Amino acid sequence: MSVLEVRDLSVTFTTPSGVARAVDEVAFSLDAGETLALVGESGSGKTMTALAVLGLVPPPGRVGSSSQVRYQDRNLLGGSEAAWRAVRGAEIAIVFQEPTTSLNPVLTIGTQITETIHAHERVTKAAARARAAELLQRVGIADPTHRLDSYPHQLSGGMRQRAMIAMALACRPTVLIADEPTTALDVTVQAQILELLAALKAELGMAMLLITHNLGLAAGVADRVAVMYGGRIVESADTDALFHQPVHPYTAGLLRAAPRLEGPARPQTVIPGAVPPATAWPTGCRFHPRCAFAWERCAADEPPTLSPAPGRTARCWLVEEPDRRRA
Amino acid sequence: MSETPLLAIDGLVKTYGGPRRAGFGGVGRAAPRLRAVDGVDLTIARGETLALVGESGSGKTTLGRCVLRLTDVDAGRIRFDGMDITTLRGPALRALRRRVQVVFQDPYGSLNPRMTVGDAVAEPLVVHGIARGAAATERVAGLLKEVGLDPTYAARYPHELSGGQRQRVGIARALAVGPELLVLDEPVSALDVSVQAQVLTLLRDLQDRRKLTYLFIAHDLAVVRQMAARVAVMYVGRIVEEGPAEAIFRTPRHPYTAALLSAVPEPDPSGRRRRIVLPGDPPSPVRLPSGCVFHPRCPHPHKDRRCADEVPALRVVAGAQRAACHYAEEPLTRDG
Repeated sequence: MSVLEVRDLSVTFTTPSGVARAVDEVAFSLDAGETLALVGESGSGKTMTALAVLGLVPPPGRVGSSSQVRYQDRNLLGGSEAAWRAVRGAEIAIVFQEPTTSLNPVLTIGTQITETIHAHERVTKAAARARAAELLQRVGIADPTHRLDSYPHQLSGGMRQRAMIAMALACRPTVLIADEPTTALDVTVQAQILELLAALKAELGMAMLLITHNLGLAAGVADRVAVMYGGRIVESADTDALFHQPVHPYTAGLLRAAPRLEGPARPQTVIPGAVPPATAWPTGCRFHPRCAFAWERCAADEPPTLSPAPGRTARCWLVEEPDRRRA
Repeated sequence: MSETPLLAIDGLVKTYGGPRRAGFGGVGRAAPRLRAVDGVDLTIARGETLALVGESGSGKTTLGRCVLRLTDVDAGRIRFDGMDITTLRGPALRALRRRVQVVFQDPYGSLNPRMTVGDAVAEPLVVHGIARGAAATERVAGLLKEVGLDPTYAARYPHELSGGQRQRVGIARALAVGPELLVLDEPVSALDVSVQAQVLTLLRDLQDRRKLTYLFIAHDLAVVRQMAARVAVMYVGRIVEEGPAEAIFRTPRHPYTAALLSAVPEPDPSGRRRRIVLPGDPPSPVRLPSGCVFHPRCPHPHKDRRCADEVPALRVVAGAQRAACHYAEEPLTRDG
């Protein structure tokens, strides 16, 4: 059963150089206990999608009038700010990339965690503090009662991220959004945090929406992967299928470009060019100017979301004309 | 190797925080508090790429700064093309800067936002008296073309460029004076995967064409694998393993290298390898553990008293592969 369903999500920004369509007709659903990775490069719209799911699109961004974010079958986008606040942080929680900037530097870790608890539940100060200590322990911080009185700068990067996760878990959310949760961390610390997230997910039965640019991370933790390019989901599939048989040429190109420890040392081909600005997406398929297979149809008409196989989607005309792949 | 290495580093020590020593030879010796680089020996042959790998606080960037002579060292020697550059100053140092250049991680932070691309690339030409005026403009156009940018980019400002284009400008600026050695400090870590691949390809092409020597500083081992034939791994100021990239990637001899390699998330769901998760954080460089600096976090099954008591020397283990581990002959296996 899906706990979170996003339908026809669009986010636009009006800028001096025109309207930027940062997120365009994005749709996905997340089942209870499932991990979906939203993978994309800078400017693909993945972070804006995450913010929209939490009702946190910064002004002057506008969410499309027909967009829906359905949490347990209720459209949050139609609701009031109070309705958002009841869900945000309690049922849908987020862990941001940079714990240094998302933690308040002048408040202790303990204060910041208990603040979250008090915002959503009526509990005594002592009870909130006891729960905060328990949370720190659970995320693997030694001497948790003492650490409650630490300020963010007194912790290492890895410990700060653990504290952020503790804060996100404070009200036992059903959905955890992890926006590049390990990007700012060293690779050995990253391994610790991934281990922790996997253990917590299994223990608490949370669903996770992992926002990342790192294909390796997605391969390691996600059940399903959705690849974003130009504000759109261009391909989605089960993790194994996506990595072993990518359908969209962008996905295939990204996989070839990704540096790896196994297999050929160097990528044979490189995706040419760069992501165009969101104010000037190309006509037709937004990837066509960089695509090795593109033909007239790709420049003229944008492919809709097609289904190359059950449980898979791809926005690419190759789904309808697979013979062109060999040309 | 009978040829003189282009860069030779011997016993390099760089400390921060303690009261400054009165002289170079250790006169007026004071207790330094933070040993950022702690007795490093390295050589790089002409035309070679040596990757210096490590996590935050490993000292890799400090080592790069010492090589660039952006900071003074506490002890040890740095020789460039046979010449001792450890304490070089004045005009001799200026002359060295024409031969050793740097590309930083964040081209946004290292380019002056109020200077056009053309002026930024021309600046080193003017400073070093290589070219000015129309001659400089012509050189700039050539350099921009060489790094894959249209010469019309000379009129633009850094904010008008993408991350990849800015990094190309950073590279053009470093190449302007015709250097032999480039210190590349995390040159692609701030870039997207597809752009990363483009910039790495450019760096390899430039190396072939200009016979450049690279000191490639990076934390990403998968990126390192594309660039370097030789790798040195640093942990809290020391080299813990060094040797041919292929050998190190196949059989890491130091448990820290093994853990680093196992932690790299590989974009292949079928190859979910055993991850070695290290406990805790690296030690504070002001209070280093006794014996092997890695021993408190070491997952090696043979770890014993000796590791806590005796500092392991960086020694040859197999072929040209060196490791600083008492049990380097019995490396941790990736699947065992």
